[in-house]
Amino acid sequence: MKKYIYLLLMVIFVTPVFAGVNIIANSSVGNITLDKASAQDIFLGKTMEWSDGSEVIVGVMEKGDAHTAFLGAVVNQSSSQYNKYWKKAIFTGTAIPPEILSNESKMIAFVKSNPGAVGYVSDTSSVSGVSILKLK
Amino acid sequence: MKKIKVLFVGVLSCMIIGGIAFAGLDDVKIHGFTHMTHIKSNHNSPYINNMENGSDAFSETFLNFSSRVNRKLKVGLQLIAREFGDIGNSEVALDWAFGDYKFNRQLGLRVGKVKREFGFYNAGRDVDMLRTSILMPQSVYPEDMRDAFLSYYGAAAYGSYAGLDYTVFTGAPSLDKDENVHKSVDRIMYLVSAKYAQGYSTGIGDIANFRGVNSTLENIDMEVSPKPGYAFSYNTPVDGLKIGFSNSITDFKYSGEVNIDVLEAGTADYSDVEGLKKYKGSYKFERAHITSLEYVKDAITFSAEYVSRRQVRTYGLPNVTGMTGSASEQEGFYGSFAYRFNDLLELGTYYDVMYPEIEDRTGTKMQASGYDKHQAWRKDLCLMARFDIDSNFLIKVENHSIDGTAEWLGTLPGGSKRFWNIFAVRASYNF
Repeated sequence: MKKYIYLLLMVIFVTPVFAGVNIIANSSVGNITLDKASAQDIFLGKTMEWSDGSEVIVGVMEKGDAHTAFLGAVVNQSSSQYNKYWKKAIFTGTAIPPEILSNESKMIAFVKSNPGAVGYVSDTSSVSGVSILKLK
Repeated sequence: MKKIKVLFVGVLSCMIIGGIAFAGLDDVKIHGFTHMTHIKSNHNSPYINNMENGSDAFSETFLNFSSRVNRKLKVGLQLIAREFGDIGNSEVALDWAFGDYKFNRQLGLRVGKVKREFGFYNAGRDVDMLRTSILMPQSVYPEDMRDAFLSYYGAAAYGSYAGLDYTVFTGAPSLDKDENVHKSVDRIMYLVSAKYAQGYSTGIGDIANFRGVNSTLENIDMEVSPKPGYAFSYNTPVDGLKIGFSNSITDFKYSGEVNIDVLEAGTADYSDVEGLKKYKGSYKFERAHITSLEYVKDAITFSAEYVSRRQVRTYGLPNVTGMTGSASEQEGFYGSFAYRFNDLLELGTYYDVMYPEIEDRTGTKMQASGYDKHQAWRKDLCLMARFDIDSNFLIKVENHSIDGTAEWLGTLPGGSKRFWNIFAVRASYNF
């Protein structure tokens, strides 16, 4: 019985990010599960290392539906607000901005080729050779 | 002090350039932005001479280089070329430059010339694309004191824990004649020295004769003391709501030669009085607190901040009459609201109130001292529009309807209009 309850909880609370978008990471990161606060910290440049001490390398989309949906659901910001956040970080020197990718194929290639890299793509994108992270 | 600073800047520059070289040019990120602004008032010219005729003497260009040396250490610097009336002359100067070592999420260390976290928007006050307005609310972010609070040479410890972001620092403001900021200090001295000239005149002539004196302080020597400060902000459980509190104090002494040019006909030129030229003073904010609130949700941005300052000044001609001084308790607050309609358009407004002496909010004492009553307050209603042509290029337009002339016109007696407007339009580009 406990096993079924556990499975039910897993289905309810541990799912791919949300309908429409997947967080993807280099295979070196593994198939880990992130809580929302940790995911926010990663995409706001506050977390520099994975739990094993390896470097976090962030990629974000330049624009698009997946970008807007991801920011709203995970970072709790609109595209405009997220843009302002990084402009402030850049021009006050408090953080080095993430890699900006212009389309999903470039995002996948970026994540696949950089150990520690993390990004996101729409769930309709065909991905292979990367990990799909779960969000609890 | 000056040698120590030169050494400090030299070592810092070597560290940053060495760090960038070590990281390799391929890893250096380069960004920049520039803006040009046209600003016009219908009465009064608080920032720029002859602003009533409209002026384009308000532009800034920034270029920055940053690189990650390793996963914990990053280095960077930003250059600025600024023109703001007679300040800056668009000469290239160092805006910030520091090394940043992040031990973990809870603790990082910055050393160098660092932007000051003071209120929610001071560190980013030059970054035009962050806000809707052109001119920030002057009660909390006065243009006249920009350089005293913008950055410091020193060190900061910072970090995040749970929803709390914190910065504790110590440093001296970058008030340095070599960095084009002395003219902004000179503007302060202008007001102070003019006030002194007025007081001095009471012993030798008719005070009215000194109205309109154009006195400047030349050959300024300045001694700035490092002081501590802190800033905290808390991301509340209410989605989009952030509150904060920050404190920053400044303390500097200066001396120079007063050059008084009496403009009104029939008055004597006292600039040949040797004792009158040797001027000394100190300028200190013993307390400067800002309490901040920001709510950002979907298309709405609301912010409100309250500032409380205790300002202490000494000034005078010690060779002639000794030093005198003054202290004032100041307060100011504003509320700002902006709504983004779509990717192109954002409209907003703010209402900003400032009292340079909280015990004289109605101007009774000001008037009794021979000044305009409305110099005791300033209330500014700003209406603003921002057009994001694309993610790099934007245009802003705004109008300020202002009641009162506190601070912007200092303590110069007479000649200012109580009700006035400022109109500004700006085009900016960033990459």
